[in-house]
Amino acid sequence: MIRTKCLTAAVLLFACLSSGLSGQDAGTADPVEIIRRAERIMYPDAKAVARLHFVSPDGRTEDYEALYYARDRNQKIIVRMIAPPAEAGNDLLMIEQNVWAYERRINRVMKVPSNQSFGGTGFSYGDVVRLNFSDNYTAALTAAGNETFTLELIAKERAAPYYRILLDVSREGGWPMKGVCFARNGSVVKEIRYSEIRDIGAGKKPVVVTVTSPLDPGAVNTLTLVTEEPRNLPDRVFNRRNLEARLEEAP
Amino acid sequence: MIVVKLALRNILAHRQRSLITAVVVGLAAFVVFLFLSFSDGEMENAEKGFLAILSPSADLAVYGRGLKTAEDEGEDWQRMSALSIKGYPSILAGIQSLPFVKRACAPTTALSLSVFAGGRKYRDFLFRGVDPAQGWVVTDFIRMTDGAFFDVSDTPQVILHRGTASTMKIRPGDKVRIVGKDLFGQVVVQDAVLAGFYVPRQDMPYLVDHGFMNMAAYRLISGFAPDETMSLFVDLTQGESRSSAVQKLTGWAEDRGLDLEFWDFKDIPRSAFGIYELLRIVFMAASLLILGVTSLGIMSVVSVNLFDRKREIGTYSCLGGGAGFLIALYVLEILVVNLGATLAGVAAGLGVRELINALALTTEDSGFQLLVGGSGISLGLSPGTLVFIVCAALGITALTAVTTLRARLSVPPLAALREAD
Repeated sequence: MIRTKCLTAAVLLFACLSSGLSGQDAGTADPVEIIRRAERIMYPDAKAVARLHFVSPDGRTEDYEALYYARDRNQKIIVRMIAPPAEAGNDLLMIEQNVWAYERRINRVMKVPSNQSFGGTGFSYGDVVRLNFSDNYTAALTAAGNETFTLELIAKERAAPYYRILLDVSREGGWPMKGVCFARNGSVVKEIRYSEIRDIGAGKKPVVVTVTSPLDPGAVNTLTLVTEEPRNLPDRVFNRRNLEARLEEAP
Repeated sequence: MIVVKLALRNILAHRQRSLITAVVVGLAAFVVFLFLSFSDGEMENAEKGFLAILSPSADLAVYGRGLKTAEDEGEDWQRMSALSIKGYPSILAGIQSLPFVKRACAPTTALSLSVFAGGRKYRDFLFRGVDPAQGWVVTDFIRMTDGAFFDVSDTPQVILHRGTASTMKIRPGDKVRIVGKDLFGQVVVQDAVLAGFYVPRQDMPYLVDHGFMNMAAYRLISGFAPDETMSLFVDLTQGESRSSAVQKLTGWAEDRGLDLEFWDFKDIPRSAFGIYELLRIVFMAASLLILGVTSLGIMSVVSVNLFDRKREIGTYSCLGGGAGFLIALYVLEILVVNLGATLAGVAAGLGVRELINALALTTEDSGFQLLVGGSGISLGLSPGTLVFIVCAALGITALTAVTTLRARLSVPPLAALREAD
């Protein structure tokens, strides 16, 4: 379960990272247009390698490395674990709100509830596939500073992972700088910080995402995007059988 | 009639052997009764204990049309929740007003949440919402040890299992923060007041992380709209047939254009009973083993008994008693002894059951709680148990008759003239 928890957290972090709003025309004041344009640019159909570092509230640390294949603005994702060796081969497939986990040792694919929660990280599989801003949130521009736009995103439907998100977006680059997620009662439930802006293969964007939560003091989840390579994968690789067949790397 | 008289006479004439048979059968019936009564007690404890808390039941359940099918097909919660009952308060009031309905309620779906208390986080509590107006759904099965059950206030309140009091170090009236995800996966945070601590009337180790919240808290935390629920439960007035009530309710709903399904709760599988159903099968298997051994003993005793009664059998033959008469006579003799002894064994078992239940024994040992289905050690009674034992007595009689009578009753009339067998 720890493995799945970490995998999910990793994918969430990846989703946070790739959902960055680096729209080329971020100067527009239309928040919906900002979000839509940014998603078209920043949810690339790509292959990426990411390193994950988890620090639990009691100081325990865990490190993972994973390979991601994504398309359709993160609505279809394959996660291949690379490290540690014990986890290699235990993979995930997410299609819209459906999640399957492949267990290498028993060679079986199991469906996992998308709202399954994973302990103190507060992550679920659904966090990943439902962290699609334009589909699940209405956007409003609340402030336009010299360097940032501040967008307020309100959940359109109750299945959205957070009731409200305040998102600071770089005016110049279009990428997100900070996200604060709120529960319905107004409490902050998560803070996401984006840092280290670099081009690692698919455009300039923050490559380090740090997620903390006041509900889990001491817990820090960090994802570092190592490489990103645009890749237009066919739909057929995003199916359960492919978790074992691994057709995404076939010539 | 003559057969009955002769059978009774024979029992008294051979009272020592009849007594031996009766004691063996009676003891077997007594032991089997205790076995099955223990199993019945487990079932009753589970029903009134952890099942009532984890998965409440009623006579009938009401669902939005298609929900049970979707559930059986393993549909995702997101899709199933679209089949919830909207506007349930007026539907509930309508059902409650029907003459054959004793009471009805809107049960809530349990939520896995964490509790912040005293600056610390306690994970993996399971909370169910309770409407104080339908408090019987819970209060029939728990008792408060500290604080009080929910009042009608709109303040979000929770009650927790007494077992958490020592670790969480909080008292009734203290504020707690509930954190987690609602049924739809959205992160929720809700402040609430601890109304008190409860203990189930039939406690179990794994109930310690079960809490309840009033609807003021549950509505905010579940993700449901205030007038939305997944199901309604209906208890019927005494004597009302479930199938007839289902028909009446279906008609009632159709008249009002409500797209609802009504289910007899017996048709809804409850997997939590699994382990106790398995234990019952084990007890029944052990009982059959005991009865099998007893049968062998009875067959042997009857066989020897009839062997020693050749003159008597021969006399009946001389007096014109045919094979049918003889079989009826001796089957009746065995049946009266077996059935009488069985009833005596059951009566003794009932006495022991009354005695044990009167002692109201309880246990805090978690292993023992799991074994007996709760914290109270009691012996139950079900029609199935009585039917099983009576059928067993009849079975032993039939088996004995089939295996011994034909051979032992083949006695020539001349045997009546022999001075000794």
